[in-house]
Amino acid sequence: MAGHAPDVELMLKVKHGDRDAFSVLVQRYRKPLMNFIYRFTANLAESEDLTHDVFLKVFQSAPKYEPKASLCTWLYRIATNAALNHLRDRIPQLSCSLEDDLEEGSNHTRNEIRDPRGLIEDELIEQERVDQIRKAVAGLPENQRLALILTKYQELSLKETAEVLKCSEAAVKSLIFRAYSTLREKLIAVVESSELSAPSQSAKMRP
Amino acid sequence: MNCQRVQENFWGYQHNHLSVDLRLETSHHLKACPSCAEKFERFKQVDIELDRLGEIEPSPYFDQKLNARLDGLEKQPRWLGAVMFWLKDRYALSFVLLLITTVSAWVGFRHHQAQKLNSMEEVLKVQEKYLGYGEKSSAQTIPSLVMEPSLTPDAGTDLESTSNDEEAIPEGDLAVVENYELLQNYDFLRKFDFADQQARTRPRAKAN
Repeated sequence: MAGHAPDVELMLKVKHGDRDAFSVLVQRYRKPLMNFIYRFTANLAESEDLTHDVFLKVFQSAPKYEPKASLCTWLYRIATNAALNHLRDRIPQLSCSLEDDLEEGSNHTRNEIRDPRGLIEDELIEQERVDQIRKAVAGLPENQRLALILTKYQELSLKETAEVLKCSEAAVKSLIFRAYSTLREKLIAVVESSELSAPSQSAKMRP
Repeated sequence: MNCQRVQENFWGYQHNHLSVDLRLETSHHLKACPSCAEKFERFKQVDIELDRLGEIEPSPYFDQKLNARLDGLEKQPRWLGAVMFWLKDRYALSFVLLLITTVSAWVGFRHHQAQKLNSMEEVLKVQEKYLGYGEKSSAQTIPSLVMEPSLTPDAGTDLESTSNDEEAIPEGDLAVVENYELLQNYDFLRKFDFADQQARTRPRAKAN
């Protein structure tokens, strides 16, 4: 029953200390929040701890919760603050840990997008491409990265993204456009290799 | 619609987040403007590349760990949570430290001022004792250090009396008397109104 309850209803129960309602919320949002934090911080090892921090913060702040804005936006706002604080506290270590985390993340992703044909070479090429994309995203300025991740991966609308980032919708559009422009420059080699491989792949598919 | 606005709407156009009117307008512009059409193609290519990034799954112990932390949170007293929040929040902590520093500096400054005032009062006492201000504020008691000797006919007498006073001044207070003119600049000496006394003295000297 609680599993299908709307977010606001669950949150109002959590406000009165209902741990079961909180568990339902955790089940609903743990994966999107963890992926959001992972994509933003590029740190697989700490993304789970940071997601825990976000849920603890939500539980602590529940008595003050007012159902004015959408819960989803509120959660992403808390997650954004947690991720930003984490990155700012860890700036000196970022340069070395980023490479390690990206490597670690790439192994993780490797399992997810395993080529069913099992062709090692194709798998390695694909893996390299994914790493390049991940590094390019991680290299974007904070605001552009946030706007890109929230809209592209978390599938928030422009309005919701604007609420999370506390800016106008026009500003979000501009941030996304700049993020894509930067990515286009950084990923020019990846995009061109995809363009080259796409016709050859389609040729292979033809009898 | 200009090219800049169209390009900023690429994401909404690609993901169907535009209003019908705006979508039609963007579509017409893309057909008419080869530059924007080319940029939109690039945008789509990057969008396709970004789809390659996979998702991660929370570990099987995610809920277990979270519940353990929640239990710990519920057990600890509320005040401890508040203290931990302040300690963890570096901005709040910085603000508190800055506030403490500012208040300390202000209190220290006020204390220093009060000490200065006390020392001034002691100087005043010395002035009263050796130079005779305060109780006897007549023109005759003003020493030659203040009055110009050329204006006073009985300057010699005053100098003699001053030299007699100096003999009686203990060594510890001598610095105060010697630096009397400098000390005149202090605010507390204003109440003696030396200027008035000098003004009263000068006409008398001329008359004599």
